[in-house]
Amino acid sequence: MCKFSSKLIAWLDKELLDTEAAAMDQHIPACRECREQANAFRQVSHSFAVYARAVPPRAASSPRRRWLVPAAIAAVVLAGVLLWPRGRAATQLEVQQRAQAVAPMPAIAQHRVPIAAHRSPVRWRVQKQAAAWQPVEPTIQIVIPADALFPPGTFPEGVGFVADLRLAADGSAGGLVVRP
Amino acid sequence: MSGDSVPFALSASAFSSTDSGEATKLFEELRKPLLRYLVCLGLSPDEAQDVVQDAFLSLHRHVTSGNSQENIRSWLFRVAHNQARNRQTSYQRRFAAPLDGSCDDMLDHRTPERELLAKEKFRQLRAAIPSLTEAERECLLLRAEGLRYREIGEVLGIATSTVADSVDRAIRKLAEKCNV
Repeated sequence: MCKFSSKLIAWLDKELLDTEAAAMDQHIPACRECREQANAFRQVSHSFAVYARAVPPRAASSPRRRWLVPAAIAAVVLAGVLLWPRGRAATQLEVQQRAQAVAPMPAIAQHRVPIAAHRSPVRWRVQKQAAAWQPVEPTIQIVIPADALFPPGTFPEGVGFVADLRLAADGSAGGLVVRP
Repeated sequence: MSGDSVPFALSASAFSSTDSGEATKLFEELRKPLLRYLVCLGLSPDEAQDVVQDAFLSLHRHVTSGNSQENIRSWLFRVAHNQARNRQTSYQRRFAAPLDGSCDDMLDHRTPERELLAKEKFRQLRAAIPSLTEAERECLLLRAEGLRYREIGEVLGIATSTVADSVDRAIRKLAEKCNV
Protein backbone atom coordinates (compact mmCIF):
# COMPACT_ATOMS: atom_id res chain seq x y z
CA MET A 1 0.00 0.00 0.00
CA CYS A 2 1.19 3.49 -0.82
CA LYS A 3 2.73 5.27 2.16
CA PHE A 4 0.66 8.37 1.42
CA SER A 5 -2.56 6.43 1.78
CA SER A 6 -2.79 6.94 5.53
CA LYS A 7 -3.19 10.68 5.06
CA LEU A 8 -5.71 10.60 2.26
CA ILE A 9 -8.83 11.24 4.33
CA ALA A 10 -7.31 14.11 6.29
CA TRP A 11 -6.10 15.48 2.97
CA LEU A 12 -9.61 15.28 1.48
CA ASP A 13 -10.93 17.05 4.56
CA LYS A 14 -8.23 19.75 4.20
CA GLU A 15 -7.06 18.97 7.69
CA LEU A 16 -3.38 18.44 6.95
CA LEU A 17 -0.66 20.91 7.81
CA ASP A 18 0.34 23.06 4.85
CA THR A 19 3.60 21.18 4.28
CA GLU A 20 1.90 17.77 4.39
CA ALA A 21 -0.88 18.98 2.12
CA ALA A 22 1.65 20.28 -0.40
CA ALA A 23 3.36 16.89 -0.50
CA MET A 24 0.01 15.17 -1.07
CA ASP A 25 -0.94 17.66 -3.79
CA GLN A 26 2.20 16.68 -5.59
CA HIS A 27 1.86 12.96 -5.04
CA ILE A 28 -1.77 12.26 -5.84
CA PRO A 29 -1.77 13.07 -9.57
CA ALA A 30 1.13 10.68 -10.01
CA CYS A 31 -0.31 7.77 -7.98
CA ARG A 32 -3.18 5.81 -9.38
CA GLU A 33 -3.77 3.83 -6.19
CA CYS A 34 -4.15 7.00 -4.13
CA ARG A 35 -6.41 8.59 -6.73
CA GLU A 36 -8.73 5.60 -6.71
CA GLN A 37 -8.78 5.42 -2.95
CA ALA A 38 -9.41 9.13 -2.67
CA ASN A 39 -12.37 8.77 -5.01
CA ALA A 40 -13.77 5.91 -2.95
CA PHE A 41 -13.40 7.88 0.30
CA ARG A 42 -14.97 10.93 -1.29
CA GLN A 43 -17.94 8.88 -2.45
CA VAL A 44 -18.47 7.23 0.90
CA SER A 45 -18.22 10.55 2.70
CA HIS A 46 -20.78 12.04 0.37
CA SER A 47 -23.15 9.09 0.73
CA PHE A 48 -22.89 9.24 4.49
CA ALA A 49 -23.67 12.94 4.51
CA VAL A 50 -26.70 12.40 2.28
CA TYR A 51 -27.79 9.50 4.46
CA ALA A 52 -27.47 11.49 7.66
CA ARG A 53 -29.38 14.41 6.20
CA ALA A 54 -32.22 12.38 4.76
CA VAL A 55 -34.32 11.61 7.81
CA PRO A 56 -34.18 14.19 10.50
CA PRO A 57 -35.61 17.18 8.62
CA ARG A 58 -38.65 15.10 7.77
CA ALA A 59 -38.91 13.79 11.27
CA ALA A 60 -38.43 17.24 12.73
CA SER A 61 -40.80 19.07 10.44
CA SER A 62 -44.01 18.89 12.45
CA PRO A 63 -43.23 16.73 15.41
CA ARG A 64 -45.90 17.83 17.85
CA ARG A 65 -48.85 17.90 15.53
CA ARG A 66 -48.08 14.45 14.23
CA TRP A 67 -49.00 12.78 17.48
CA LEU A 68 -51.34 15.35 18.92
CA VAL A 69 -53.91 14.88 16.19
CA PRO A 70 -54.40 11.13 16.64
CA ALA A 71 -54.19 11.67 20.37
CA ALA A 72 -56.95 14.23 20.31
CA ILE A 73 -59.12 12.05 18.12
CA ALA A 74 -58.54 9.04 20.33
CA ALA A 75 -59.33 11.04 23.43
CA VAL A 76 -62.57 12.35 21.96
CA VAL A 77 -63.64 8.88 20.88
CA LEU A 78 -62.69 7.36 24.19
CA ALA A 79 -64.40 10.09 26.14
CA GLY A 80 -67.50 9.58 24.03
CA VAL A 81 -67.51 5.84 24.57
CA LEU A 82 -66.87 6.06 28.28
CA LEU A 83 -69.05 8.96 29.17
CA TRP A 84 -71.89 9.25 26.74
CA PRO A 85 -74.58 6.93 28.11
CA ARG A 86 -74.06 7.48 31.81
CA GLY A 87 -73.16 11.10 31.42
CA ARG A 88 -76.28 11.77 29.46
CA ALA A 89 -78.59 9.98 31.85
CA ALA A 90 -77.04 11.52 34.91
CA THR A 91 -77.14 14.96 33.44
CA GLN A 92 -80.72 14.71 32.39
CA LEU A 93 -81.71 13.59 35.83
CA GLU A 94 -79.74 16.40 37.34
CA VAL A 95 -81.34 18.90 35.03
CA GLN A 96 -84.79 17.78 36.00
CA GLN A 97 -83.94 17.97 39.65
CA ARG A 98 -82.54 21.42 39.21
CA ALA A 99 -85.55 22.48 37.25
CA GLN A 100 -87.78 21.30 40.09
CA ALA A 101 -85.63 23.06 42.62
CA VAL A 102 -86.17 26.34 40.87
CA ALA A 103 -89.76 25.66 40.04
CA PRO A 104 -90.98 28.86 41.71
CA MET A 105 -89.33 30.83 38.94
CA PRO A 106 -92.14 31.48 36.47
CA ALA A 107 -90.04 31.20 33.35
CA ILE A 108 -89.03 27.70 34.21
CA ALA A 109 -92.41 26.63 35.42
CA GLN A 110 -93.82 27.57 32.04
CA HIS A 111 -91.22 25.58 30.30
CA ARG A 112 -91.64 22.54 32.47
CA VAL A 113 -95.16 21.90 31.40
CA PRO A 114 -94.39 21.32 27.72
CA ILE A 115 -91.47 19.05 28.44
CA ALA A 116 -93.59 15.94 28.30
CA ALA A 117 -95.79 17.15 25.47
CA HIS A 118 -93.31 18.66 23.00
CA ARG A 119 -90.12 17.01 23.77
CA SER A 120 -87.24 18.25 21.84
CA PRO A 121 -87.21 22.04 21.37
CA VAL A 122 -88.49 22.99 24.78
CA ARG A 123 -86.44 20.50 26.66
CA TRP A 124 -83.44 21.94 24.90
CA ARG A 125 -84.27 25.39 26.21
CA VAL A 126 -84.85 24.17 29.74
CA GLN A 127 -81.59 22.37 29.74
CA LYS A 128 -79.79 25.40 28.48
CA GLN A 129 -81.21 27.42 31.34
CA ALA A 130 -80.48 24.72 33.85
CA ALA A 131 -76.92 24.77 32.74
CA ALA A 132 -76.80 28.50 33.00
CA TRP A 133 -77.77 28.47 36.66
CA GLN A 134 -74.79 26.43 37.57
CA PRO A 135 -72.21 27.23 34.96
CA VAL A 136 -69.32 25.54 36.70
CA GLU A 137 -69.68 21.90 35.84
CA PRO A 138 -67.47 19.43 37.59
CA THR A 139 -64.45 18.72 35.42
CA ILE A 140 -63.92 15.13 34.46
CA GLN A 141 -60.29 14.25 34.01
CA ILE A 142 -59.26 11.20 32.06
CA VAL A 143 -55.65 10.15 31.96
CA ILE A 144 -54.84 7.95 29.00
CA PRO A 145 -51.42 6.32 28.78
CA ALA A 146 -50.31 6.68 25.16
CA ASP A 147 -49.16 3.09 24.94
CA ALA A 148 -52.66 1.92 25.74
CA LEU A 149 -53.91 3.40 22.51
CA PHE A 150 -51.04 3.19 20.04
CA PRO A 151 -48.47 0.66 18.98
CA PRO A 152 -45.23 0.81 21.01
CA GLY A 153 -42.79 3.37 19.74
CA THR A 154 -45.39 5.77 18.33
CA PHE A 155 -44.79 8.21 21.15
CA PRO A 156 -41.85 8.84 23.42
CA GLU A 157 -41.87 6.72 26.54
CA GLY A 158 -43.95 7.91 29.44
CA VAL A 159 -46.20 10.10 27.37
CA GLY A 160 -49.84 10.12 28.39
CA PHE A 161 -52.70 12.40 27.60
CA VAL A 162 -54.95 14.22 29.95
CA ALA A 163 -58.34 15.15 28.63
CA ASP A 164 -60.28 17.77 30.52
CA LEU A 165 -63.85 17.22 29.53
CA ARG A 166 -66.76 19.48 30.27
CA LEU A 167 -70.17 17.94 29.84
CA ALA A 168 -72.88 20.23 28.74
CA ALA A 169 -76.23 19.88 30.42
CA ASP A 170 -77.62 17.86 27.54
CA GLY A 171 -74.92 15.27 28.03
CA SER A 172 -72.82 16.29 25.05
CA ALA A 173 -69.13 16.85 25.49
CA GLY A 174 -68.22 20.49 25.36
CA GLY A 175 -64.87 22.09 25.97
CA LEU A 176 -62.61 19.10 25.60
CA VAL A 177 -58.98 19.94 26.23
CA VAL A 178 -56.39 17.32 25.46
CA ARG A 179 -52.85 17.84 26.63
CA PRO A 180 -49.83 15.58 26.80
CA MET B 1 -8.25 25.25 7.58
CA SER B 2 -10.05 27.26 10.19
CA GLY B 3 -11.78 29.68 7.85
CA ASP B 4 -15.16 28.08 8.40
CA SER B 5 -15.41 29.07 12.01
CA VAL B 6 -15.12 32.82 11.48
CA PRO B 7 -18.81 33.55 10.80
CA PHE B 8 -19.72 31.76 13.99
CA ALA B 9 -18.03 34.22 16.31
CA LEU B 10 -20.56 36.14 18.34
CA SER B 11 -20.55 39.01 20.79
CA ALA B 12 -23.01 39.99 23.50
CA SER B 13 -24.41 42.74 21.27
CA ALA B 14 -25.93 40.04 19.06
CA PHE B 15 -28.45 39.39 21.82
CA SER B 16 -29.26 42.98 22.63
CA SER B 17 -32.68 44.12 21.55
CA THR B 18 -31.25 46.49 18.96
CA ASP B 19 -29.00 43.99 17.28
CA SER B 20 -30.74 40.68 17.32
CA GLY B 21 -30.32 40.03 13.60
CA GLU B 22 -27.03 38.29 14.16
CA ALA B 23 -28.46 35.91 16.74
CA THR B 24 -31.50 35.22 14.58
CA LYS B 25 -29.30 34.44 11.61
CA LEU B 26 -27.21 32.14 13.73
CA PHE B 27 -30.32 30.36 14.96
CA GLU B 28 -31.64 29.87 11.44
CA GLU B 29 -28.29 28.68 10.22
CA LEU B 30 -27.57 26.17 12.97
CA ARG B 31 -30.98 24.97 14.06
CA LYS B 32 -31.40 22.32 11.38
CA PRO B 33 -27.87 20.91 11.57
CA LEU B 34 -28.28 20.64 15.35
CA LEU B 35 -31.66 18.93 15.01
CA ARG B 36 -30.26 16.52 12.45
CA TYR B 37 -27.34 15.66 14.65
CA LEU B 38 -29.51 15.08 17.71
CA VAL B 39 -32.04 12.93 15.90
CA CYS B 40 -29.21 10.88 14.40
CA LEU B 41 -27.89 10.41 17.91
CA GLY B 42 -31.17 8.79 18.81
CA LEU B 43 -33.31 11.56 20.27
CA SER B 44 -36.91 11.83 19.22
CA PRO B 45 -37.74 14.91 17.15
CA ASP B 46 -39.51 16.39 20.17
CA GLU B 47 -36.55 15.85 22.43
CA ALA B 48 -34.26 17.26 19.76
CA GLN B 49 -36.37 20.40 19.48
CA ASP B 50 -36.24 20.84 23.25
CA VAL B 51 -32.50 20.34 23.37
CA VAL B 52 -31.91 22.84 20.58
CA GLN B 53 -34.10 25.41 22.32
CA ASP B 54 -32.23 24.84 25.56
CA ALA B 55 -28.88 25.09 23.80
CA PHE B 56 -29.77 28.47 22.32
CA LEU B 57 -31.08 29.66 25.67
CA SER B 58 -27.82 28.59 27.27
CA LEU B 59 -25.96 30.45 24.56
CA HIS B 60 -27.99 33.54 25.26
CA ARG B 61 -27.22 33.36 28.97
CA HIS B 62 -23.61 32.59 28.29
CA VAL B 63 -23.01 35.48 25.93
CA THR B 64 -25.08 38.09 27.74
CA SER B 65 -23.28 37.37 30.97
CA GLY B 66 -20.14 38.66 29.32
CA ASN B 67 -18.56 35.51 27.96
CA SER B 68 -17.65 36.04 24.38
CA GLN B 69 -17.36 32.96 22.23
CA GLU B 70 -14.98 32.50 19.36
CA ASN B 71 -16.63 29.50 17.87
CA ILE B 72 -20.32 29.41 18.57
CA ARG B 73 -20.92 26.49 16.29
CA SER B 74 -18.84 24.01 18.25
CA TRP B 75 -20.05 25.56 21.52
CA LEU B 76 -23.68 24.92 20.55
CA PHE B 77 -22.98 21.44 19.29
CA ARG B 78 -21.15 20.65 22.52
CA VAL B 79 -23.98 21.89 24.74
CA ALA B 80 -26.53 20.02 22.63
CA HIS B 81 -24.41 16.89 22.58
CA ASN B 82 -24.05 16.88 26.36
CA GLN B 83 -27.74 17.48 26.88
CA ALA B 84 -28.51 14.67 24.49
CA ARG B 85 -26.21 12.42 26.47
CA ASN B 86 -28.10 13.24 29.62
CA ARG B 87 -31.47 12.64 28.08
CA GLN B 88 -30.91 9.69 25.92
CA THR B 89 -32.85 6.66 26.88
CA SER B 90 -32.62 5.10 23.49
CA TYR B 91 -29.35 6.43 22.22
CA GLN B 92 -28.40 3.35 20.31
CA ARG B 93 -31.58 2.38 18.68
CA ARG B 94 -32.25 5.04 16.14
CA PHE B 95 -29.43 5.77 13.83
CA ALA B 96 -28.94 2.24 12.60
CA ALA B 97 -32.46 2.06 11.29
CA PRO B 98 -33.94 5.43 10.58
CA LEU B 99 -34.17 5.43 6.85
CA ASP B 100 -36.51 2.77 5.65
CA GLY B 101 -39.09 4.98 4.06
CA SER B 102 -36.92 7.88 3.18
CA CYS B 103 -34.35 6.22 0.94
CA ASP B 104 -36.44 7.23 -2.02
CA ASP B 105 -36.20 10.86 -1.08
CA MET B 106 -32.49 10.97 -1.48
CA LEU B 107 -32.18 9.06 -4.68
CA ASP B 108 -31.46 10.43 -8.07
CA HIS B 109 -34.39 9.36 -10.19
CA ARG B 110 -33.01 10.15 -13.60
CA THR B 111 -32.80 6.57 -14.83
CA PRO B 112 -33.95 3.25 -13.41
CA GLU B 113 -30.38 1.94 -13.52
CA ARG B 114 -29.05 4.86 -11.54
CA GLU B 115 -31.87 4.54 -9.10
CA LEU B 116 -31.12 0.89 -8.58
CA LEU B 117 -27.45 1.58 -8.10
CA ALA B 118 -28.12 4.36 -5.64
CA LYS B 119 -30.55 2.21 -3.66
CA GLU B 120 -27.99 -0.55 -3.48
CA LYS B 121 -25.36 1.94 -2.37
CA PHE B 122 -27.49 3.21 0.48
CA ARG B 123 -28.49 -0.28 1.46
CA GLN B 124 -24.83 -1.22 1.80
CA LEU B 125 -24.06 1.95 3.68
CA ARG B 126 -26.89 1.32 6.07
CA ALA B 127 -25.74 -2.18 6.69
CA ALA B 128 -22.21 -0.92 7.35
CA ILE B 129 -23.07 1.82 9.84
CA PRO B 130 -23.57 -0.49 12.84
CA SER B 131 -19.95 -1.57 12.47
CA LEU B 132 -18.85 1.93 13.52
CA THR B 133 -18.15 2.65 17.15
CA GLU B 134 -20.22 5.31 18.84
CA ALA B 135 -17.32 7.78 18.73
CA GLU B 136 -16.70 7.09 15.06
CA ARG B 137 -20.34 7.64 14.25
CA GLU B 138 -20.46 10.89 16.18
CA CYS B 139 -17.32 12.11 14.44
CA LEU B 140 -18.77 11.31 11.02
CA LEU B 141 -22.10 12.95 11.83
CA LEU B 142 -20.43 16.15 12.97
CA ARG B 143 -18.10 16.03 9.97
CA ALA B 144 -21.14 15.66 7.71
CA GLU B 145 -22.48 18.87 9.25
CA GLY B 146 -19.31 20.62 8.15
CA LEU B 147 -17.46 20.79 11.45
CA ARG B 148 -13.67 20.83 11.37
CA TYR B 149 -11.72 18.19 13.26
CA ARG B 150 -10.80 20.75 15.92
CA GLU B 151 -14.46 21.64 16.41
CA ILE B 152 -15.49 17.99 16.57
CA GLY B 153 -12.85 17.52 19.26
CA GLU B 154 -14.35 20.44 21.20
CA VAL B 155 -17.86 19.02 20.91
CA LEU B 156 -16.93 15.51 22.00
CA GLY B 157 -14.24 16.52 24.46
CA ILE B 158 -11.48 14.60 22.71
CA ALA B 159 -8.19 15.54 21.07
CA THR B 160 -8.08 16.69 17.45
CA SER B 161 -5.72 13.84 16.63
CA THR B 162 -8.23 11.37 18.08
CA VAL B 163 -10.90 12.85 15.83
CA ALA B 164 -8.61 12.45 12.81
CA ASP B 165 -8.01 8.81 13.71
CA SER B 166 -11.71 8.12 14.26
CA VAL B 167 -12.75 9.73 10.98
CA ASP B 168 -10.02 7.88 9.13
CA ARG B 169 -10.97 4.53 10.61
CA ALA B 170 -14.69 5.09 10.08
CA ILE B 171 -14.42 6.11 6.43
CA ARG B 172 -12.15 3.18 5.67
CA LYS B 173 -14.59 0.77 7.32
CA LEU B 174 -17.50 2.15 5.35
CA ALA B 175 -15.58 2.19 2.09
CA GLU B 176 -14.52 -1.40 2.57
CA LYS B 177 -18.00 -2.63 3.43
CA CYS B 178 -19.63 -0.64 0.65
CA ASN B 179 -17.18 -1.93 -1.95
CA VAL B 180 -16.41 1.45 -3.38
